[in-house]
Amino acid sequence: MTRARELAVVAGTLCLGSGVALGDGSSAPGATSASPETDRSATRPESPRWMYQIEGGVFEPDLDQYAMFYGSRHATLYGIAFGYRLRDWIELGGDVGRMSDRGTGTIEGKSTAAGEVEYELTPVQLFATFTLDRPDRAIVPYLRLGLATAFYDETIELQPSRNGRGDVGAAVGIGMRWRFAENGSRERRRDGVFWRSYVFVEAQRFSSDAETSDGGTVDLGGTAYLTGIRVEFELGPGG
Amino acid sequence: MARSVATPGNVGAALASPARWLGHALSLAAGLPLVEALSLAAGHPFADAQAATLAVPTDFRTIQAAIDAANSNDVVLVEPGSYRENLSLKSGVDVVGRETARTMLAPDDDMQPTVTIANVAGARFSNFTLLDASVGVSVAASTGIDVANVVFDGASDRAFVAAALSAVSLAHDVFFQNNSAVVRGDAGVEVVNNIFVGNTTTITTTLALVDPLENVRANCFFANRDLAGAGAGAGAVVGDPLFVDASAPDFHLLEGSPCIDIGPDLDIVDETVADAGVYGGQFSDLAPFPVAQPQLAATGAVPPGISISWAPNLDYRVTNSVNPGSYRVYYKMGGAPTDNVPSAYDGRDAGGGTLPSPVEAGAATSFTLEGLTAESQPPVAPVLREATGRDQAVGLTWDAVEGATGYRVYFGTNAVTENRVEAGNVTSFAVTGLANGTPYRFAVSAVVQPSYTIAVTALDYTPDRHESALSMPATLAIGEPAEGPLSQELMATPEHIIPYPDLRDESGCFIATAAFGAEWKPEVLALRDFRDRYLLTNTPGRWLVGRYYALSPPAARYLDAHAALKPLVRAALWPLVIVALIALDGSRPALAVALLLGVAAVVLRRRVRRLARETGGV
Repeated sequence: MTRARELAVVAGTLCLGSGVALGDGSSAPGATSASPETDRSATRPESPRWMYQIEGGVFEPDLDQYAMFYGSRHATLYGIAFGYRLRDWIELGGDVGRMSDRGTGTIEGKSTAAGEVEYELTPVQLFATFTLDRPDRAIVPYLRLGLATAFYDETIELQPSRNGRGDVGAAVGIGMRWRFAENGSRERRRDGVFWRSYVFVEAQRFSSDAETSDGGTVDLGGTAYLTGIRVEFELGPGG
Repeated sequence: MARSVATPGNVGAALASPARWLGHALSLAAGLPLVEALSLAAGHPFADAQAATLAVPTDFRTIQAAIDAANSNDVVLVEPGSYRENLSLKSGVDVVGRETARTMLAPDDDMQPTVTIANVAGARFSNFTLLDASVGVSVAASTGIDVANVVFDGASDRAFVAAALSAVSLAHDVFFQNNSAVVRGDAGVEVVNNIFVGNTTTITTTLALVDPLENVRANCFFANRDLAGAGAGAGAVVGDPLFVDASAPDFHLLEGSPCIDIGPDLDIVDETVADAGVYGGQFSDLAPFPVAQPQLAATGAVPPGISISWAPNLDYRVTNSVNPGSYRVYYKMGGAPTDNVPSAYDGRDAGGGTLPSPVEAGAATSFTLEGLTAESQPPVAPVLREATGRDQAVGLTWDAVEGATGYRVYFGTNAVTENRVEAGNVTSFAVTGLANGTPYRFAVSAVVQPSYTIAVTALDYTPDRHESALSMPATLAIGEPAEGPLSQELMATPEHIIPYPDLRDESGCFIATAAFGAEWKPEVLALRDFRDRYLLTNTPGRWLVGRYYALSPPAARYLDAHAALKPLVRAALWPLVIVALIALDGSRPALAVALLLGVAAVVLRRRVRRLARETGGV
């Protein structure tokens, strides 16, 4: 994906996300409105503001010959994310992932496969997540947009390793989360201490261009299909 | 678990305790068999009389596990070593260290006593050195207890404490630099033939007795704070006990110690009147303290010889002006210079020398082995398994050859014998500094370096000539190494490996990283940021960085291999780091001031030089 296309996608999805989210936010719990609907929702607790999630899945790098050198088009990606809900419809956060794969290199100037190479990628994202429905529902679709970069480390057998960081690129994701547990005590909710747990599935794309040895660039990004556990929690008044 | 039936010696030791003496007296009075009488004395059924020895750590990993598994009349024998446990003794089970000086016990929980003896009838705790204790041994509601030949070293609270109505024999112990040495409830704790040195409080009896030092006899005292240079109890001896080396900790006594032969018992070591302290009495361990690792040197003679010397064992039963002990030298051919693990050395092989091992060295602390064999059979050729090309290097692996003490790697482009490298005693090796794209031939040979491994023991002057454990062995290589034939040849071509994706290494300044030690050091980060902001943003800068990356890795490798140069390189880089820091974070005025200072320094230096020239001219 070119940088121009990425920016267009980001801008478009931001507009779309804002529209949806704003529309949703007008009826969101905790929103101030004089409508009867909002009056009812005012008795409901707000959504927890904090969240963390542990995620894992497959990552498919945007590298044409990846399968030839590493034996498969996919690698396993693990990650952890933290976030803070500004409004019921928008959440800001960060995500750090880790991917590692072992493969082979080539002899310089030849196309002969030789040597062991370990390729490690650490994608880092700053994101805004737009909830496409009220976040207190059991099933919540969402859209995620953000900025991404990736740190790389190539360990080559008996040679100095190479490491560095790709440029800042775009990240976009879409997913669905299903609430499977929450603490239902009204009393505790009144105290502002409560939590919700979700499982989620998410498809995610990001890009981060990095310089190659010959002065060209290559996109370290790709598509990730992730699942994991998400916990939203509220620490109490002022928490 | 191995349970060995008690030997006559064990029974003899058992009889030596007051509880056993009581049993013996009972048997005589009532006409009972001795073992049954012992059981009665200890409060245990006759069925438990079959005594066994439970060895730690051979049979049980911990001392407490052995105690828990022991039956009445069993002995838990603890081999030399350092143990960290809190023990709880039980009736009829003796817990005995093999050697006081080398069987160390420290508490696992230092808030609890190291050894607790509560509600126990008939038990011995002996031949340990207790370290790092708050409370060393605590006795309550127990009778027939022997605490013997134990060093209480540096207890922060009380080394030994016994509640009233306990019957304890506290004999032949050393109380060294404890806060409070002995706290006893009443006179049921008998304190005999101990040595008290450097304690804050020596002996305290909690109950008010007519004679607070009742049952305190024949002890040695020195530099105890509460006694102000005096002794306590009947037959007290006052004076420096002359320990060999309390820091070792070796609490054997030097010749001339006032604590030698003060009685009233007999010593099991030399069967004379008992010494005070841990090497007197009937429960003392017999072995002298091992001597330190001997020093070895080749004599330079032909055939070769080895001159051996060692520090003397200063125990008065070994080093004595009237009746000295002696030393024994054990040696064998073989062993690598790093082979200094005592358990790997049996010390009893005859070796290749002119004297069979061991050799009696007499009372001297040096000995020369002469006429040693310095020739070895050449080893067989190794099998070279793999030669793998890498960036300017080839990795080799081969099979180990039995008896080899090292390997030599041969390589060349036309003939394998063009170059030779000593690889050491390894089975894989990387030959570096090779030209990429050039095929090389490789072969390996094994070498055997003749060497001798030597250890020394000390023997005391007694008729039984008790012998210490072996010293830490020392190894010396002598003669020329014998080299075996070359392995088969393998070929490999060093190549530079390109990873996929072929990403640029941004790990920064190689030389600065090598000089400052890590990529994350602030100095390296400053230089890297300077590169990114000021050099990579323009064509000349990028050209400069490109040349630097081409040339600096070998320089960084050289720097890594010659660490002594790093301070010089750091000193040379510091001005650049300062410029980088100012350029990155400083304001324009700061940058201008820095430049002005630099110009001023150059001008000043030129003026000083000119002045020096003019002065010299005059």
